[in-house]
Formats: sequence, structure tokens, C-alpha cells
Amino acid sequence: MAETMFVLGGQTASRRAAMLLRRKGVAAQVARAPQTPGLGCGYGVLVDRERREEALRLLRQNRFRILAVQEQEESG
Amino acid sequence: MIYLDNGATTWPKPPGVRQAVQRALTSFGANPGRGGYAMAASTDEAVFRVRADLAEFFGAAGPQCVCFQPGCTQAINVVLKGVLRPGDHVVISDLEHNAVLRPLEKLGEREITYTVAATVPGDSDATMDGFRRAMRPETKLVVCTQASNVWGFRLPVERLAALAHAYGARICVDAAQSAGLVPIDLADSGIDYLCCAGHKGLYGPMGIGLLVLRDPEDPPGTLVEGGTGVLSRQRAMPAEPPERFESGTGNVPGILGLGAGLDFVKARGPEKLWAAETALLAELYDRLARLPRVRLYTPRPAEPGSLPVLSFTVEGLPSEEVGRRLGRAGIAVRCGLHCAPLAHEKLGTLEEGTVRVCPCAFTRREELNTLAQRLSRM
Repeated sequence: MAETMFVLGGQTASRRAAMLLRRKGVAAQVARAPQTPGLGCGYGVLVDRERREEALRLLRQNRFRILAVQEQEESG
Repeated sequence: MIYLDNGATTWPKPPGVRQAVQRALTSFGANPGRGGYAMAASTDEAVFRVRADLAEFFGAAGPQCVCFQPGCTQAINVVLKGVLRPGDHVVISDLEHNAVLRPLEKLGEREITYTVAATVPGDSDATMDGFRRAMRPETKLVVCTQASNVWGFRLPVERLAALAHAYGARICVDAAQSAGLVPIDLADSGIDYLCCAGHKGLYGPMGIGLLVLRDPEDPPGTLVEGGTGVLSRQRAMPAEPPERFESGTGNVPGILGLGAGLDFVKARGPEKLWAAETALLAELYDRLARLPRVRLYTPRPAEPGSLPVLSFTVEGLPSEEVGRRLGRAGIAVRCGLHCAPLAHEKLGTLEEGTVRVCPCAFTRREELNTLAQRLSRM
């Protein structure tokens, strides 16, 4: 399954974001983000790519600072 | 042992707290906010749940407002040193702990000044007048205890918040003694920065405290900088709380123990704990009032004006000697100045200090009776 990761930086913001998205019916999980250029380590939320735009809208509406958006392909 | 030093730290801890600490060591042993493997994630989730519970308990805007600190003292230091700039002025009450006084003395080196406002126990209007007189155009912060750790007097922090805001200042409340007993709601009260000990009325372990922010969008500067596990390539600390204020590995046993302590407080109800402890202390007060050599300095403990803290002296005996004799009899009390010289100066006990008795949820009437009997024989 192709997924989109919204890199939010801290684990607290990521858990808050995941809670929000799940409450709105978007499956989301907190995960460690791949190294992000210029930022380094961090966390974010993973959502099904088909729900990407909906998730993005919800996160922006709720004033989450999205540091990067990364597309991830299922591995293995 | 009869333990009556709960103002310093509550003891014993509820069984759930002991279990939570043990669980932290056995099941949540990874570093939260660092790794991505299962135990790191579950530990982080457990920490987040406590954060969210605390945010709800204190009426904060969300979990991001709750910053874990090693204690209330450090939380206060974060606010004072992260908010104030050279030329700023601070107003504090005449009941403050050294956790407030000493950092402000140190900040005097950076041309930050403070004024001590006189409080009038039992008269909120007069207390407000005292603070109003102390305010200046350059006042940036009002710092006050919610209740004196020596005398139990409560301050009208909601009104003080309104006063501070009217002057364009902010308010930092030291709730070391009151959190867990007095309901606190950041949204309603106007408190900008709430500093709490985790190991007193919240029944957590020692070594954990809280800084709760009303506005997470405008956090103070940092006191301690270091690794946060995130945004590692940035030389500056993260802008967002709570990670902004949580450098280094967190105290997971402390945090999870505090979470269990909070569950204990919520199950009993802060108001009920407050009422029960105040009733016990009022009975002790009546007994001590009949002892000719015991001097009481405050009115009979009663809600809502005071917290269950009772200080007294015994005529002809230094307070430390009273504490020593009680200690030999297996009764634990706190003697001296309680790190609050201003509060003792206020009631004339600065030289000898007082003997302080603080009950907790586990204190029994018979234990206070035993204390009164011992004192009657001194």
C-alpha cells in the first residue's frame, strides 16, 4: 500500500495529529520519519495515499506545522 | 511511623503509583521520542497518554501544553529565565518560596527587578490592592503561589491573572502545594504558566514536575538546551512545546507514576481530598488551641480560604527541637523555614521557624490525636 507521511517534527504533535485524523475517520499511525533534508530526525503520521488530500486539509485546518511530505511505497 | 510531612512530599504513594513505576521499568524501558521500534513507540504512547490526561485535568488547550520538568522549581526557573529580559519588572507575593525568590535575586544581575506585594490573608480585596500598588508600566510578570506552603493561605490567582493582563503582563502560578487539591482550569483562570510538583498533591514519585502553558503558540525561551530526538540538524531548540522544554532523556518512571497519581486524585476527587484533609486539620487545630504552650498563627483551617497546612510553635522550645522530639516518637513533621523566608517574616517566625503538619489522603484521625497527645506532654 502506498502511503504518505506528513513529517511534523515532534512525537507529541505527531500523536495529536494521528488522534485528530482517526477521529475524522482517516486511519493514521505515528512513525519515525525518514531523515528529512535540513531537519534530521523526526516523527510524523502515515496515512493511505488515497486519503492524502483529506489528511492534509485536516492538518492545515487544525494548524499543524507540516515540515515535509514524503511519499512512501510499501516495501517487502 | 506517623507521617505528617506531606507538604514536602506525599507518602505513602498509592499502590497504583508503585505499580506504574515498576511497569515503566519492566515494560516501558525504551527511550520515548527517540527510536521507532515497538517498545520505543509504546513507551512514547504511554507518556503521551499521561500528558493528555494532565492537559485535560488542568484545562489546558492540549497535550502539547504539558511540559515535563524535573520539578516545580525548574518549571518556575524556565518561566522566569525564559520570559524576562533586562529592564523587566516582576511582582511577587510575600508568601513566595525560594523557588521564586532565589531565581529573581539571580536575575537581578541582568537588571531584572522585583517588588514584593503584601497579601492580606482572608481578604482578597486587600490582597489585590497590594498587588495593584506594586504594578509598574515595565511589569512583565506576576508570580505567586496559589497557596502558602507554610500557612496554607490561598491567593486569588484568578483575579491576579486579570490584573496582570490588564497591565499587559503575564502570570505564573506556583501550584506546588495546591495541585491535586484545588481545581485548576487554565482556560477559565487566565493563568499563563502553571508550575506544579508531581510528588505532592498529585501523588507521583519525586523527580517529576510540570510546566503547563496556556498558550503553546507563544512559549518562553529555553532554560536547558540539548537533544530532543527530533529536528536534530537544527542548531536551535524546537520552537514547539513540549519538546522545546524537554531536552535529554525523559523520566519515564516518574511520568508514568505521576499518571497513576493523577488517576488516584481523579478517583477520589480533588475537592473531596481537600475537604477531608481540612476537616482533619481543623480537629487538630482545636486540640492544639487548648494547649497553653502551643502558639497557632492562623485562623482555623477552612475551605476555601486555606489549604490543609498547619504551622505552629511551642513556647520555650525551638521548632527544630520540637521536630526532633516528635521524630524520636515516630512522628514526621517539617520544621524550620520551609524554604519560604518571606512567609515566615510575614508572621514573625523568621528566627525560629515553625513546626508544620500536612496530612494527606492516607492520614488517619488517630495519628493526629497521637501528635496532639505528644505535644501536650512537651
